[in-house]
This record gives sequence, C-alpha cells and structure tokens, in this order.
Amino acid sequence: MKGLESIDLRRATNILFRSNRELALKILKIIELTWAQLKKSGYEHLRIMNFCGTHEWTTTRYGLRSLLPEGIELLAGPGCPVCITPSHYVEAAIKLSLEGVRVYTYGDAYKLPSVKKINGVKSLDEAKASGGDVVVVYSLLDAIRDVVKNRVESTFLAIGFETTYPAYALAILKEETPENLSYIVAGRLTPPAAEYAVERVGGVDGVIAPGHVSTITGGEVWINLAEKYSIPTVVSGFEPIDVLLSIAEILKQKSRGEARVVIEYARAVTWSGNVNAKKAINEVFEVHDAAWRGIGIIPKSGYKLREEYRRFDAFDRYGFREPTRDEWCYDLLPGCRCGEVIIGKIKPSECSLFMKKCTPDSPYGPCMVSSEGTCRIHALHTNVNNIDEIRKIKWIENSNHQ
Amino acid sequence: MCWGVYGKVLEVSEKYVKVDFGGVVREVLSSLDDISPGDYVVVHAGLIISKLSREEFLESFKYIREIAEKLVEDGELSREELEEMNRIISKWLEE
Amino acid sequence: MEKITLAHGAGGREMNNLLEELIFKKLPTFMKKVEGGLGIDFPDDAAAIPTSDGKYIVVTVDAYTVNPIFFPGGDIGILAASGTVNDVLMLGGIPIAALDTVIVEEGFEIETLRKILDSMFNTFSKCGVKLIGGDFKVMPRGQLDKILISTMGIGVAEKLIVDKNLRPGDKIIVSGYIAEHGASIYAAQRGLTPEFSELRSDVKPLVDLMIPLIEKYGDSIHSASDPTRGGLSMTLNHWAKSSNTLIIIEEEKIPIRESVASYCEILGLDPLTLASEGVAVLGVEGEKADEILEDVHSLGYTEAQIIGEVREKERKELSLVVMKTSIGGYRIIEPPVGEIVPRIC
Repeated sequence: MKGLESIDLRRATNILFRSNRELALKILKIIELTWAQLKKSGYEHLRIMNFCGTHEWTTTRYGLRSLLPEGIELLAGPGCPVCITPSHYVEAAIKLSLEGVRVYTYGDAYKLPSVKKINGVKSLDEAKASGGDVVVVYSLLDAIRDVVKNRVESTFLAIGFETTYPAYALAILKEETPENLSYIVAGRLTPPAAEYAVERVGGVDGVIAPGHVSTITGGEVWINLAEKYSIPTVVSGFEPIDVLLSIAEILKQKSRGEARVVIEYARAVTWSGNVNAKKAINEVFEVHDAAWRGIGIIPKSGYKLREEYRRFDAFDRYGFREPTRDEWCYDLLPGCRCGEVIIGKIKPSECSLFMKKCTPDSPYGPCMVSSEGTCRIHALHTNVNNIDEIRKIKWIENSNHQ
Repeated sequence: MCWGVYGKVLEVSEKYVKVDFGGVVREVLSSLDDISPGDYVVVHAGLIISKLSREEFLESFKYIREIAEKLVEDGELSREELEEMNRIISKWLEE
Repeated sequence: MEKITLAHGAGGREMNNLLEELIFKKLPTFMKKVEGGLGIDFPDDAAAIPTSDGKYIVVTVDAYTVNPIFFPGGDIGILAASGTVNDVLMLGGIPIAALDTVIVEEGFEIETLRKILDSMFNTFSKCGVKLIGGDFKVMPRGQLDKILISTMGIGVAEKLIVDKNLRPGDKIIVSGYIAEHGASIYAAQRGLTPEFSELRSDVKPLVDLMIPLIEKYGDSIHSASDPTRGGLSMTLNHWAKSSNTLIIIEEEKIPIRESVASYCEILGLDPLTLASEGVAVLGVEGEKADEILEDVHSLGYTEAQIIGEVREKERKELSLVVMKTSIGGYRIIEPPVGEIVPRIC
C-alpha cells in the first residue's frame, strides 16, 4: 500500500472525490437516513444555499439533484461574479474598446449585456463584431504578456471575488503591471453578500460556503452565518463527493440543533486562509460600499484601488466614476428579475421573461449569460432541475434493466 | 464562482511557477512563497491560490464517519455498512 | 442593427437559428432535395441524389479556414481532404472524386501553398479519391486571412445511412478519443497554448474504418456522423431530435485522452462540445453492437467504445441526450451555445 506521502493528489482526487460511484451511494444512504430522522422531527423541506457558481456547476454537471431525496432543495445564491457585475463597468469596457483601447476580459464576461447601449452595442462580443478591440484571456498573466508584446494601451475588466483579486494585487505590488495597462476594478467580497442574501431570502437551513474563496479568506469569515444567523455552514470542495459530504454535514448539524462552520475542503482550506494573498489585497485595495447588479449598494462589499495605486485605475484614467448611493439606479432591463434570482428569492421560472424574451441564445438579463448564472443553468437543464422529470429518467433506466 | 484546477509544481523561478496539469504544462503566478517542485497546488485563473495538504487530504471524511457512527448507535445503519464505507475510502490508496 | 458574431459560426444554436431563418425557412420544400434523394429537408453529413440503378450519388461541400494553417497533427490541406471524404462516408457513400476551390491572399508564400496542396493531394490519393476539377483565386492583401479551401466530395452509396433512422435499442459507438482536434486548435488559436502539451489534432480520413463497416454492416448501421463543429454533444442532440428518441450515454465510457481532459479542465471547457476530425460516431443495431465494436478495434481503432444506447422517449420533452455521470447522477447534454470561451468561474 502506497502511503499518502508519495501519492499523486491530482489523480487521487479524481478517484476518490470525482468518479467514485460506490462511495457516492454510501454517502447518499447516510444522507437519506439522516433526512428520514429529520423528517420524523417535523421537517418537510430543507433549503441549502450555495454561494458559488462552481458549486452550482458541480451540482448540475454531475446531476446531484437527481440523486438527493425529495425535500432537500439546493438553491443558488449570489455566487456568480458575472451576474452581479454592475452594468456601468461593462458599459465603460465597451466604450473603451470602441475607442481603440484594448479590453481584456475573462470569457465569462464576454457576452454579459449592459443596460445602456454604447453606439448600438450592448456587450463585449458585440463590440468586437463592431470593430472594438476585445481580447478574451484565461489569466492576467496572458494579458500582461500580450500588453508587453504588442505595446497597446489597454485595460482589464477585473471582475471577481477574493479568489481572483490576489492576482491583480500581486501584479501591481511586484511591478508587473505595465504602465499602459489599467484595471476596471469591479471586484466584490462574498461574505457581505452571503449575509445579505440569507437575510433577505429567509428560511435558509444550511449554507455550502465557497471553497476557493475560502482558500484566501479562510473558513473564519463565515462565522457570522453560523453564529449570527444560526445557519450550519460547510466550506466545501468542488468535486461531487465534496458536495455530498457537505450536505450530509448540514443535515447532521440540523438534526442536532447545531450551527457551526465546518471545513469539509480541508485539503485546500485553512481556518485563517492565505495570509500572503490577504496582505497583498489589503496593501493595494481598500474596501468600499459597492453596487451589486440588480441588488444595489451593499456596505463594505467592493474593492477599490488605494490612493497610491490609483494610477492603474481605468475609471480615473479615462474619466469614469462610480455611482454614489443616490445615483445608483436599478441596472437591469425592464421586467428582468435577476436581482431576486441572484439572492435565491425566486426561481428563474417565476420571472415572466424566462425562456420567452430571455433565452440562452439571446440573453436579456445577466443571469442568462454566465455558465454559472442561475437562469442559464435552469434554461439548459430544465429537466434536471425538475425532480419529477428526473424520476422519469430513473424509471427508464430501471425498466431497462428488468 | 471560482474555477480552480489542481496541478503538480515542476519548477519554481523568480516570477513564475511551472505547473503540470496532467499532460498539459503552463506557467502560472503564485500567491504563496513556500512553493517547491513536487507540491500539488490549486490554480485559479492562472494564480496559485493554495497548496494541497497531504495531511488533511482525508479530513473530508471525518464528519461523515461521525454521522455514520451515530447512525450505527441509533440502529439505523449496520456496523458492516460503516466498515464497507471505510474500506471504499481507503481502497483507492492501493491502486 | 444585428451583426454577425463569431458565435454565428461556432456550430451551435446561434448558427442553427440563423440558417433556419435565412435558408431553411426561405426555401420551399420542393427546392430542398432532388426527388427520391436527401437534401436540406433533413440536413445530414452530405446530400444524396438517386440514380437509375437504385443507388445514390452522395455529394458534400465544405469550406475550410483554420488558424493556424499548420497545427499539431495536421494542416489545412489534410483537414479539407479528410473532412470531405468523411462527410461522404458518414452518409454511407464510398468516396470517388473531389473538386476544390483554393483562394489565397496576395503575398502568401508559394512554398507554403505547395505544402498545403501536397498534403491535400496525398490524403485524397490515400483514399482513392480523384481530384477532377477546381478553381483558384487570389484576393488582395487584407481581404482574406491567408487561405481558404473549399472542397466538394462525390461518392456512391448502395444504401444511405441517414441520422433519422436511429431507433430505440440501438447502441452508440464512438471510434476514438474525442475533442482532440478542437482542443489543439483552440490552444493554438486563442494564444492559450500551454508551455508543453500532448495536444494533437486527430484529423484523418476514415476510409479504413468506414468502408469495411459499410460493406459488412450496411444494414446494421442506422446512423453515422463525424462529430466536427459542436462536438459529440451537437451530433447526439441532432440525432435525438431527428430520430425522435432519447439517447443515454455513460460518462465513464466516453474515450478521452488525459491531456485533453486536463486542458479542458484548466479552461473550464466541455470536451463534449469540442470538435473531432478523425472520429466516427455510429448508431448500430443493439444485437450487433459488440460484434461491430470488435471489428472496429481490429481495424486499428482500439480506443473505440460503446458509450450508450437509444431509448424510446417517454414524453415529448424528453427527446434529449442524457448522460449518466461518473458518480451515477443524471445530466442533460444540451447542444453547445455560443462561441466557446474559457472561464474562470
């Protein structure tokens, strides 16, 4: 038997956490038994919210909803940085791209629609089709290398949460950011939004907290959810077995009347997080009251560059500015209810535009754009999200083996 | 919200870290200083955000074992099934 | 005014919708096919015209642009020849001849053009396909990105293999590792090339696989496609829709090379949506499936697998492709939407 010391952890994760059907069945059995106990004590429904689009992705990608017992509902919270990125950043990026500034973006925000059209254009992919200079990159490093090579005046649509922000901070601190590159600083912090959502939605029985955000912040930032709101909170990894284990733990805490923060994703997350990265973010950015798309201003929930690094700020450089609390206006198109979908208050199907005016081919609201946007996920996997339909599929499967 | 991929560190230079993602090698940035060849890391958007811990690798199963123990105590789950689960968890180590 | 975006050419939903609006809805039914043949009334890999002796002439046309024109595992010449030959094969035709149009940009190196054409001729020659005609044009600098090759393929079929003939009980065979071409081109095109990778295009003509299969199992192969643009996901969805069935596949059975899976994972891409240029997907009679798979293996396609099967659909909404995932859950495989871009979240 090989010891843990010599094992390939990448492969091990695959075998143990990703494709282990046998283990999934055992955990599901434990979930079912615990759920049965909870039901005896009066529970009919259990609403578990995730705050990470990648958890939502894992849930749909591996068909987890089809495996869970009836009554356990998995809700998607405000965990998609694309969906919550306010329209004014996108509008600024479009405008710059059409004026000859090269705009780098992650693929995620490439099709994100703005509320206002800029020269008839309402997303970066349309801007590109109209001659705008837009380049899709996978990482900040790709963009920096491109700037150095092509010496173009450029800006980076810097969306993201705590996980994505150390890269920007380090690129500035280590003087890797070329002077002709600026950032559209659209970064947001997750814990304030998580608290905002559980407060507004109510009835959240458990939280699957974002594992990769927590590698930076540490598990400690979720303490409020457990203590102030009495919600069992599990910092979870992103493999299907991780998510099942987290659900089991939430059920357990519920059945014992506990509410604690537990780190299921212990192989990557510690209680205090990535000290280096936090320090870098702190040196370069300060926290301000920031707008969330379709939601409004959430106190202390956004990053902005500190005075000494303001020269890298695209808004300063090109004369844009952040809206004040009074100026901020609802940045969703008329009828769009993404703001409520994002915080898990309504399901996509409760929005009258869903699959009518707003489809994956032609998104109207931001939640239909990102691969982890709740509306898009529901649109593409309608039947998967509908437990009855899944039972039908299971039935087909079973009948075939008889 | 944050896509992360595991890889094995091949080389560490002043600015970049070379990471093998299983037949695909890329240069990435690191937010951690104590990275050395042979480490397994979590990479998000071209940045190392965390190092995978061997010691904590099986910690994920600590809680499910507790739950299973309780279910055995309550007479809901048989001891054999609990042991079977433990076997499945340790079996992969032999592969 | 709405404009063409790259998504319109990505082979997904946007393209289908655009073609539906501009072509399929516009043409009256009688314009869509030659009587007794196959046309765009049921779009397939190729079209067919019946002959007086009860056979069919199979024809296909395709335009090839690829950037870079030389890529790991091939070049635009092999790509054009293989693509054309494969489209004829997938309708059950034995390819016999081809015509080409080559358009190059002013300033293009003649030596490079020679290399590309040589590799196209070699590929045709290996397949026993004659190049019987063509056209050559030059465009002023800047009006074309280097080179465009359009090829037309002609073949003869005793019996057509038409996607809509897929039926419940059939098994789905995939002849080799999927997504190889898509992943390697994506890496090269997007400048997201890793420092090192084993990514190579799988581009190749499938005559050595398909001709023996067509001859031996002509009646048992109900549908065949090469999953090019839009990948396996597009192909299977097209099949499910045109044959009015439910297709269930098993994630674990889908052949995929580790490096391709890793590359897709890094960028958050779905390998099911990436193109293959040297893979056949076959829908075959359930009882013959194992025997056919053995033959496929012995023809040198050792990675081939039975990845799933076709079911009667229970309800209208279920005319779908469903995948049993690695941990036993179910997921619906949708046809790809939009230009494929990497993601970080």
